Order: sequence, then structure tokens, then C-alpha cells
Amino acid sequence: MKKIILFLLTTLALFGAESILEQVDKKLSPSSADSYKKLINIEPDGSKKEFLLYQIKKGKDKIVSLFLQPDSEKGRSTLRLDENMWLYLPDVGKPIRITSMQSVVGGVFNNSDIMQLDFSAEYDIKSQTDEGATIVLDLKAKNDTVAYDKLLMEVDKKTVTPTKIACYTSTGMLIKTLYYKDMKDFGGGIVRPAVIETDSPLYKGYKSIMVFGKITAREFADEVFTIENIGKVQELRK
Amino acid sequence: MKALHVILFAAVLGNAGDYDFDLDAIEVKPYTLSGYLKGENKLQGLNEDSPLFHTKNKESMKSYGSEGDVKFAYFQDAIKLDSEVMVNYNDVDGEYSDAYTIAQLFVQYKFDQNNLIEVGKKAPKWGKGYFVNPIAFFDRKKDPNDPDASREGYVMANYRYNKSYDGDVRNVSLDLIVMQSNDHMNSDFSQEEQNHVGFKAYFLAYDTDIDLIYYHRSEQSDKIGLDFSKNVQANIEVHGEFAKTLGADDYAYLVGLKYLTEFELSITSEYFYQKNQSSKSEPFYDHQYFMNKFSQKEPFDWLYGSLYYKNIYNLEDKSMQNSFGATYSFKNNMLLDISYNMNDGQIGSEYGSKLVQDTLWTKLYWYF
Repeated sequence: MKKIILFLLTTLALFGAESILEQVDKKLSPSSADSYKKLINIEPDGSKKEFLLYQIKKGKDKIVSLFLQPDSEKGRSTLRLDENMWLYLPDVGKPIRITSMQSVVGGVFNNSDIMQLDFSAEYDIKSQTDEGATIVLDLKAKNDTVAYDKLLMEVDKKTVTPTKIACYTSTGMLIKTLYYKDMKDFGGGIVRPAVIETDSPLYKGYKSIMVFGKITAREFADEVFTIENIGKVQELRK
Repeated sequence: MKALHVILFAAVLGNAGDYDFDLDAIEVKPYTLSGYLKGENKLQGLNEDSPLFHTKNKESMKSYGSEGDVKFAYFQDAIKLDSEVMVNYNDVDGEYSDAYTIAQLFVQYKFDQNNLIEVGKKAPKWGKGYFVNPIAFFDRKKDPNDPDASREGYVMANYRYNKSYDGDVRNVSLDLIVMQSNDHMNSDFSQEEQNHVGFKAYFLAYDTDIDLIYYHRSEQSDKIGLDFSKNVQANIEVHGEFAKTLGADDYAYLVGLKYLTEFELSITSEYFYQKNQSSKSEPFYDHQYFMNKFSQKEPFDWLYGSLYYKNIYNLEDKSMQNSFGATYSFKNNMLLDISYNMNDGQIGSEYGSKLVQDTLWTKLYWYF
């Protein structure tokens, strides 16, 4: 009997318990929410270009973005359903399939950084190391359609949110590093870093910043995340 | 010391500016307004071998053009009014012309999350091809020089049912289009006065976009069509289209791919075949074409800039059109596109017969 109970507890620990990665996902965003964020690309000479986005997320694998600024990008939408990604340009008037590696705004952030799904949907924990105040997670992509093959994520134990993520290719080349900072209370129990900064050895001297302005837990129908509605995201803003 | 304080204060303010978020910028209005103003200049060398050369009888011509495009949408509960108006003004060697086009003007009513209807002038934009769409039964033919710019629609009613699922089939969407062409409405759609009904079933199945189409015409033979698009790898997309006229030996198809290299060179390649030639006044009238576009994003760390090369090759008469160009997106909502375009081919061939042999084309857009 004792053996059976021990077996059940071990099974629960291995498969039933929420992994640290799932806890991080929960901290970063409610399972269904809309948010506003701005992206800033900073060039080596200090000049900047800003983008403002409205974003809706549902579950682990559904996300849609709408550009509100600058005027040259206004109305441009991107839909991600698992590893499927489409781009809608108002001047083209129909959705076009794109790849997650492509960058829709230029600069260091690419589509998959802006349209980030839950980490646990794309990555498995290969190993985790306790380093006092932080836990370092070695994450491996679940399949080869994920933009980065490997992530090294430093998680702050106290807030259960990332502080730094290094992104690597399958050959071990560092593509970029993301720095999470400026913890902020967005209301509704959402407390997370409001700023993500990134730099890349591939873009020497360039820096990109993502700033979250508002995050609200809100329910959305699954049909919001379909290509028929990719051009209608504006109608959902409240 | 005072100067140091000022510098430190300025530095803090500088960072604070980046991290600040202006909540006024996300205020929701019941309407959206956007568009662009475009100015363009063409310096064109003329082709002495063209059958049209005698109409000009000179070496070159200059043309200037301007275009205004305004998109306006108004939202109220389940109703949306959507519109797009274009105004053009052209000067070709001192000969002026202007045009005013209502590209789209329709009302959308959403019954619920799954059902909606759109009535008015709109362009459904069917098909997955970049250069040409054999299954775009309810759209105007694309301009090969500017495939993205064919936005003018026809007057129609479009009912849509859209439903998401869990599993291998993630989304099903059904479209029913009804329209009429006669002397007063959609007169340039068809030469016959007739009714048109189109039915399209879309599936997102096994991570593949699939469309199946049936097109009924009251005075001509019906048509069927299908298309697909799929990411076979994170950086490769394949697509295709097939259209057939029922009861006739008439069909057309397109196969293509998009490939993104590690250094962000985007390659679009398409092969187009049609059993029967269309009117010579239309783009892609011949039996088969091979089209390629190479676009290098941000070459030499040139942020917001791109270089492109485009080639449209008529495989029947071995004539072609080449374009080499560069675009730059400025921070003040302006976009500059400069290209050199050249038609090449033997006398009597498609591109060898064009009146214009080569063009230095400059376009400047300002978006609002």
C-alpha cells in the first residue's frame, strides 16, 4: 500500500504539478487578456523609432496584434495560432502566411518576440539550477518551427518572473538577450516586469525596448484568432 | 556642480521617456482614419520596335503622378461602415488626366461571433499567389508592376460563417457571395448581363490553409477553384491555386514558395500556367510565366531599408521584365521607393513589344 501511495505521489510530482515554466507563464499574463505595449528601436546614433501595439492573447497558443502607431504601420495586424503566423496589411487587404523568424518592425525584436506564446507551449525544461535568489532554466524548443532552439532563462524566485533570457540557435550561436525589468502592478493581480530590453551581437550598437502600458484580463471567443477576423481587431478594442 | 545636476536630471528624464507610457494614445474612438499621399516620377525610354512607337515617335517621355488614398471606418455596436477612396492626378508629357475611385464602400453587420454579412463595394481578394491569382473570380486582375495595389472591388453581398475548433481542423469558414453585372452595376466585371454566385469553404487543417470554391454564372459555364498555403519549415512557405471552367477545356494553376534565409533575404518564386490565352490587353495573358522576387531586408545594417530584384519571365516567347529597386522607411511616416525597370525581348514578343523600354521610377509615400 505504501508503495502504491509513493508511486502515485511521484507520478503527481512528475506529471501533475505545475512546472516552474508554467508558473512563469501565469505570472506574465492571464490566460485570456488584452494589452497595450510600445516598441522602441534605438539606433547606434541614438535616433529612435516607436511602435504602439494592441494585443489579444488566449490560452497557450493564440495571439493577435494590431499596430496603432506609427501612421505608416497603422492597421497592420499579425495573427499567431500555434506555429501558424499570418500578416495583414491594409493596403494588401488579405492575410499572408509569414514565418516566425521574420521581423515585422525592423530592429532586434522579431515576430516571435512580439507575438510571444506561453514559454511552456514552445519549450521543455532540460535542466534547472538553483543559484540562490534565481533559478536558471535550460530550455529546449519542442520542435524545429520554434524561432530559437535553446533559451537560458534566469527566473527571480521571489516574483517568479524572468530577469534575463539568452536566445540561441541549434548551433549554439547567441542571437539575442532579453532583459526583463521594472516590476509593475497592472491591477487585477497582474504584477510583472513592464519593460523588456533586448540587444543582439547580430545588431551591434542597436537596442530595442518593449514597454507594457496596460494589461487587462478579458475573455475572447476563439473566432477572434482566425484569418477571417485578422483585419477586424480594431473592432474589439474597448 | 549645477551643470552636472542638469545633465543627470536630463539623463534620468531621457530614460524615463523610453519607459513611460502615454495612456492617451490608446484612447478608443468609434472610427479609424488612415491613408497616404503618393507622389511619383517616371523617366521612360521608349522602344523603337514597339508597334505603338509611331504614336510617340520620340526617344523618351516624362510623367508625374500623384495619388491620395483615404480609408475611413465607423463602428457602432454590431455595425461597421468601411470605405476607401482614391484620387489620382497624372501628367504624361504635358497631357493631364485625373481619376476619382471609390475602391471600397460597404456595411458590415455582425449577427454574432460566427455570422456576419457585408453589403456594398468590396474586394474579397481570394487566392494565395503573390503575382497572379487564378481563383480570384470576384477581383480585378493584379497589376504586375504593383501586385499589392489592386484594391478596387465590385458591388456584392457577402455572407460569412466562421467557426473555430480544437483538434486537427482548427477553423472552418464559409463564404457566400452574390452579385449582379449589368449596364448600371459592375459593368466592367463581365460582358454579359448576368447573376453571379460564389461559394468558398476555408479550412485550417493540419496547419494548412485550404480553400475550395464553386462559382456559378447564369449566362456562362460555372467554375471551380482551390488553393492552399502551408509553412513546411519555420522559414519556407509553399502555396498553390487551381481554377477550372466546367464543361470546357479551360484551366489555370499557380504553384509558388516563399523562402526566408538566415540573413533575411526573402525569395518569392511562382510558376503560372493557363490552358487558354486571355486578352492581350490583360496582364499575364500568355500560357506560362515564371516570376521571382528577391528582397533583402536591412542590407549592410541599413535599418528600415531594403533592396529588391523582381523578374517576370514569359516562358512562351522568352521575353521578360526586370526591376531593381530600393525602399527606405523614414521615421516621419514617409516611404521612398526607387526602382529601375526594364522590358526585354525579341520583336513581337510580349515585353519586347511594350512601348516603354526602361523606366526610372521614383515613388514617395506619406502615411497619415
